[in-house]
Amino acid sequence: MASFNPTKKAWLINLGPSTYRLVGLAILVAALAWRVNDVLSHEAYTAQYWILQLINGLILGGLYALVAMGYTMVYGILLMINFAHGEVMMIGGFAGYFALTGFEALGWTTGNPLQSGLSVVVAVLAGMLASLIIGIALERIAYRPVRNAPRLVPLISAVGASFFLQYTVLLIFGVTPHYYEKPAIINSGLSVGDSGIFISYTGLFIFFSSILLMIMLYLIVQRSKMGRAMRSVAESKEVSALMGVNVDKVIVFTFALGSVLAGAAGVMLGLHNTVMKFNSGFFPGIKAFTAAVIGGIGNLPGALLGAFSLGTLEALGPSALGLPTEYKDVIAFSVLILVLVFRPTGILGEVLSEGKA
Amino acid sequence: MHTALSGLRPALIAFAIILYLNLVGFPLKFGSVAIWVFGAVLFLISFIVSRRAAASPPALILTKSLIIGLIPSLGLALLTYVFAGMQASQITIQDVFAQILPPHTAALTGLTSEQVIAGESVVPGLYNLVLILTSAAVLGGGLSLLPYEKLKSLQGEKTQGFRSTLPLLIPLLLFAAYLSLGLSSVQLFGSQENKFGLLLLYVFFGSSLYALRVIPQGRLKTAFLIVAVLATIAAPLLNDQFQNSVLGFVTIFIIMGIGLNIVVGFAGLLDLGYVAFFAVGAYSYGLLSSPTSWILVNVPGFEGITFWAGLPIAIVLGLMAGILLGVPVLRLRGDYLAIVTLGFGEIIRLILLNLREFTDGPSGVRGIPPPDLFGVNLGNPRDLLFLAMVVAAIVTFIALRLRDSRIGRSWVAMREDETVAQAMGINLISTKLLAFAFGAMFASLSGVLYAARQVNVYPDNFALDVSINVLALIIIGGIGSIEGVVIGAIALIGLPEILRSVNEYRVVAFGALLVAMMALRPEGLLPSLRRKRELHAGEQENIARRRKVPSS
Repeated sequence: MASFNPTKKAWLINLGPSTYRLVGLAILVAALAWRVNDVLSHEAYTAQYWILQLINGLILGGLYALVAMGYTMVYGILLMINFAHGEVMMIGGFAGYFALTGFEALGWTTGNPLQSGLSVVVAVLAGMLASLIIGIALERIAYRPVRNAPRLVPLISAVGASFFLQYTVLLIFGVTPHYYEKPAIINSGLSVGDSGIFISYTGLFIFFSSILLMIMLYLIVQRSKMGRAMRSVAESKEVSALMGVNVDKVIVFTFALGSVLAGAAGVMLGLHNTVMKFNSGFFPGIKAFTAAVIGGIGNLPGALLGAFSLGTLEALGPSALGLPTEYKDVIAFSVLILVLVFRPTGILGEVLSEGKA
Repeated sequence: MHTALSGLRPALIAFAIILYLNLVGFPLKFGSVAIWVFGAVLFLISFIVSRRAAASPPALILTKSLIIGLIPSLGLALLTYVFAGMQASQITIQDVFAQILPPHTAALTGLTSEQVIAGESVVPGLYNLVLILTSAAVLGGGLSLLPYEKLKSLQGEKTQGFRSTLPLLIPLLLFAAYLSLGLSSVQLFGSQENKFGLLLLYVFFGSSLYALRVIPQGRLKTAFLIVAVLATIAAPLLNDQFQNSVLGFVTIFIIMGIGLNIVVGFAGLLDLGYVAFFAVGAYSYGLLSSPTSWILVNVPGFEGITFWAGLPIAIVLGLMAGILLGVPVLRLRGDYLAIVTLGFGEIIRLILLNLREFTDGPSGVRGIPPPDLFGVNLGNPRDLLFLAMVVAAIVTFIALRLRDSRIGRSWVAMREDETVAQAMGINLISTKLLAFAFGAMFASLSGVLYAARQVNVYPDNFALDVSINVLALIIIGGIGSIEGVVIGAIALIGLPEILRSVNEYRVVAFGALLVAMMALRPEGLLPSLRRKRELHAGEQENIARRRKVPSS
């Protein structure tokens, strides 16, 4: 195997790591800029179109952020990808659907603003509660028994749990998609002057409530006693245990927190897309994980940043590159690969990909 | 601890399980058999719980198992009563719970659906249900009181001599059973195909691999090996079309599994986008040979390639794809690698789906020609199976030789510790790239076989679940072990084909199996010896650590 001499073939990749990567990045940025410039000078997209796309991107980003929080917290503490997190979100979406259907039967969704507003809030709370229960059960049944096993084992367990939850929902609630009926209070939208820019109230609701929830999460993690315990367990389980932290309790709390946010996101996703299916959680889940990685996994502000960047890129990217919108997923995953190649820590992350991981 | 109330927790767990089985529609699918399934669940739970508390007095154990029986069965009866009442007053429950239809209630109460809708009293049926379920639980508790330890020691003495030849005899008996039963059509799950014969073959393959592992080296083993190989070669000639077609599918996954085993098992690089290379193989052969593909339509004079030309082309393209993916992700480890490869797999599928002019998008590549050998068309399940078996044998040989070679040992070293491996003079870059390249090559090869078998391929055939399936099969089988791949492919790809008639429950069972397997036997069914040792060492260490550091 003389040909695998390290000194001979290393030029393939390893020529002065930073300079060559920088050159590659520069070429890539130049090519993309050229392409965008080309598209912009030929295609007739109005400013209004771009603003609308940007708004869509921000709404999507808010949703991704809520789900990404759960991934990033669990990864920060257990160093595992909670593959079933998207399903936890989907179950929250289903609970919200049933809550809203109940209010519809009472006539509240179309009733006065107080009634329909209340139905939205209760639907979100129902989603949170359902996700909370599923999230805690998931930790207890699928993850705790394999917590100390090699890395692959919890991952496979998570994949199994994901399949199990998806197809359980399929079996119990049926294959047919469940269509959300938007309550009256968020059914219309806001027109900005006569510029033709229209923001749906659903979008506003999603954006602001996700921001609100994330501020609450930030306060819990940074200010509360449990939050301090969480951060300490993320540093080292053993040392935290010696300091009198109940590690099991902290892990359950982390799952609960992430699941509650995912449940809220599930209901919001239902309101946004107006449809819930047994596999509605899978792709948003993977995207949210992507967002968490882009921002730097294990880092809460990073997940927020990553989610909003991913949402915006997905909304603006295809048009800016002159591609059909079906390519938005390709763009999302390409961004992920590029970020990991050029900045493996994510935008704000600590050095994990080569050290701890 | 040992009070009757400690039966409450298992009772609630049992109720949760029965409620779950009820909501996913067991009674609707299996009719009144579902009651016996529920009974079996209660029996098992009560038996296991009572065995754990075997030291406590019999009266207590029986009380506990009574609780374990009563709570779930009363809960189920109450629920069914409510549902029956709703159904009698024409309230549709299936808008929420899709499986709760009148026949469902009828199966649990021993009535007909018409009687349920007409509002006939379900109470006598429910009394019956509670009686059956509770007595199953009490029976479980009662049977746990038998002195099993004595029984076991008695058995051990008698069968000592018999035991050593048992692993040998089982596969041979199974094959004999397959020969005698397989040709007549014994029906399983009411289908036309001879699924029972196929099942016997699966168990034969599984037990032979197990026998080969436990029999000591020697003349007996060689003889057994020859018989087993001959039987394997003979099987496709005796099978019917359906059996061969399923086995062909299993063999294609075995080839993929062996490839992924190199990447994940030997080199320790977690690849979740393995399906990308499978797609590269299938599409490269498909696009170069299908009469409707863009290349054949637009390149004048190009008539398309044969299967035999497709193989080397696919190998080269797979190799290139493997290196193409390998180069950017070389620096990543663990989960980062997993997520990037997952993204890569999805990108390939999305490109195949959206590059409409070139790949025909969702309508796929159609009419891919089957292989032929000297003018003989090999496009039938039996010949394709033979072809796949030959490829699988070659791939297995390559993988075994690689494992024991210098490269193989550097893979293992790298998996254990990259820094130390590098210090020992292993070039991480080329070693990793080689692992990716070999894995990609094998997947691409199986992609060609798949395309030739399927005739039409669509982008959705290359979705994420293929990667997950392959990964799951090598993990269930036992990571790093080649026999494990075979067992895993039979268990995860082959068995579900037999269970097609209970299709809805396949994926749920698959998910539950993965979770349970990871908790109970993470090393897989037939693990590589090194892996098994590692996992058990880890457990010891963890137990020790847990003892040292109390968690509160």
